[in-house]
Amino acid sequence: MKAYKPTVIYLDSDSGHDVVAHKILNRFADVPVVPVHDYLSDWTPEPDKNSLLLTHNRGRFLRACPGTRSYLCCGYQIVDFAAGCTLGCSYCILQAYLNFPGLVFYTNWEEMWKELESRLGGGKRHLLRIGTGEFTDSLLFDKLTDFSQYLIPRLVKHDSNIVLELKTKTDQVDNLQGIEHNNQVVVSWSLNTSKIVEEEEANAPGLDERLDAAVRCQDWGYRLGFHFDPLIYYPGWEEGYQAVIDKMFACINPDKILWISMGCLRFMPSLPKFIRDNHPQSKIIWEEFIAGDDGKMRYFKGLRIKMYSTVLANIRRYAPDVLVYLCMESPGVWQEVFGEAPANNHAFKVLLDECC
Amino acid sequence: MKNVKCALIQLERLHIVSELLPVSYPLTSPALLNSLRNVGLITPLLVQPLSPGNYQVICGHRRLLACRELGLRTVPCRILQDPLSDREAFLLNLHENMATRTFNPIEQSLLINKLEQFFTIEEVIRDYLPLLGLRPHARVREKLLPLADLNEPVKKAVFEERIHPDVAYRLSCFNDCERRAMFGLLEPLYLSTSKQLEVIANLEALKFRENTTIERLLADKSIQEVCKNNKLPLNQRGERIRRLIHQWRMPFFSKAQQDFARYKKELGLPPNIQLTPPPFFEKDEYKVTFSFKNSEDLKKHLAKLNQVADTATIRQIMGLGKKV
Repeated sequence: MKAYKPTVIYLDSDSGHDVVAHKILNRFADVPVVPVHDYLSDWTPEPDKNSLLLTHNRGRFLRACPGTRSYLCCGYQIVDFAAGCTLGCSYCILQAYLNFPGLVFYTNWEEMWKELESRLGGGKRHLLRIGTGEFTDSLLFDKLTDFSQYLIPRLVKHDSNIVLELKTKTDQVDNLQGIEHNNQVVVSWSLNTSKIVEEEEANAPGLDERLDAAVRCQDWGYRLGFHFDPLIYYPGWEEGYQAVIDKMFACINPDKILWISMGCLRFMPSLPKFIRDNHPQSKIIWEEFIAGDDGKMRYFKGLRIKMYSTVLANIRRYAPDVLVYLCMESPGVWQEVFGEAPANNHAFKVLLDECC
Repeated sequence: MKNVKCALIQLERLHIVSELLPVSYPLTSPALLNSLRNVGLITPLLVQPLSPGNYQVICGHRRLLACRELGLRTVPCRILQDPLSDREAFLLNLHENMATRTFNPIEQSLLINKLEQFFTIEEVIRDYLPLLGLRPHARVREKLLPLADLNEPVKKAVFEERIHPDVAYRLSCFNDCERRAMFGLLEPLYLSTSKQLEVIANLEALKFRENTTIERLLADKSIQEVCKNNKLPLNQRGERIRRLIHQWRMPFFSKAQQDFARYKKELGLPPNIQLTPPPFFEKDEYKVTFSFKNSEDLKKHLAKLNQVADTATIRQIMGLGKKV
């Protein structure tokens, strides 16, 4: 994987004294730094996708995953420590979602921790599943920021009733070795077929690299997660996903897997324009999509059911008992795929909580 | 325009020099020809000296061409004594036209293209789109800009309001061969603008998905059969072609729609009982609506619904969309 290096760093005046900001500035000592005082308005020059903004998160760090209406969502909580990604996946929703073209690192970690400390409540309430991989990849910049080494020990020490999921497409797991994680950290990978990895996930490590990293985490005692999300339809998808699952279980012990999720490609109607502009070679938007009940574009229901059922059958050949769930799917689809469905979002949350 | 003289000038002495100046589309007008024949030229042309004895037309290009066509020898002109720059001449021409008529979409496109030679895009959007009768939005400019460069038949169809400017804009996004093929298909058929746009969007998606060309898609036997079926009225041909292309583009959804129509027919519900599937068969909830005039009517409908509720056909309907 090509090492990340920005072409310009915008340094918000608030970030000037933060430890992580200094660490990043030292690492990129030869990159021009442009001081800014109000990152929302005073850009000179115009930032591009290779820009890096070091600033403070002025809102909440911990918030509920936005989920989607009309479909079942699992009650995940997300920690916003950064926004943006350089993996260049054609289908990435961040293209349409974020208004800063480059990367944003929030450097006010002490404020973040104060907020988490006060809101996480020290084990007095039900289990909380939190993740850092919603608006960026959890581990893509970990060597640069050492965020995992900052967050994991604090979380584990503070509250045993929290499970942190680090979602990634990378092999950047070195920082995780030797951290006392108390079984409260799930390292999970988004997997896709070789064809999709090659054609639609331009800068992401290949399947072998991701699985090698997963094996290392498995050896270090971490519990693992895998996300077949997005499942992408193309002629030959059945063989493609079967090959991924065969490869995965050739090196991963099913007992070490906490959960596996599946989610078919879905997107806001505004995304195709970005895909056409940024990834003109991609064909994924030209398949048959219908407008779902939440307004997002999805494959036809029958096709989704077929894809989930096929992938599930492949998983079950190796892991009959591991928890497999659907991300943002309707109870009707759950019913067809699993023969049962959570009654509501709360029941879905409990289902995942209990497996932790 | 302080310093102007009037004179009769021979037609061969009058010249259209700059491509910037004519802002009219089309440049020939049967109505103008007719008017000239009946009452002659009412408004003199505005010209400026070009070289000794020759003049550049600033305002009145269509009048000049019409006079030439009628074989007139001289026309009355107002001659500007102080020469204008290209920008001044263009703006004078624009304002003269603007004061007397509205612009059609091709002219709006020509004008935006020409205005952008003198002004920034922001200035054109802010200051000039409203003068052309348009909303000052970037998207309005973006959609009109390419129309002036379309093939002549497409421009003519827009001018004659046989195709909507939005359709012409979508056609402008394709290469010349693709554009000709789609225009050739759509132009004679009586499809609404939204259906024309749907056909174009579906053809575009199929082109990429099937890795083929628009021309090859339209050469398909089933499309050609409909196109050549002279027994069908044009609007029905258009509708059939639209449906065929929709079926290619949305095979799973189209199949479910067709199955639903077949099963619904099998149920034999009277016309005043409506059975409606969920949008795209995404949810599992179907809707039944009916009207009745009295309790007998109501009992009859309920009995019919009760009868179909337990049939294999209704179970088939409830399973639609779950399998492909």
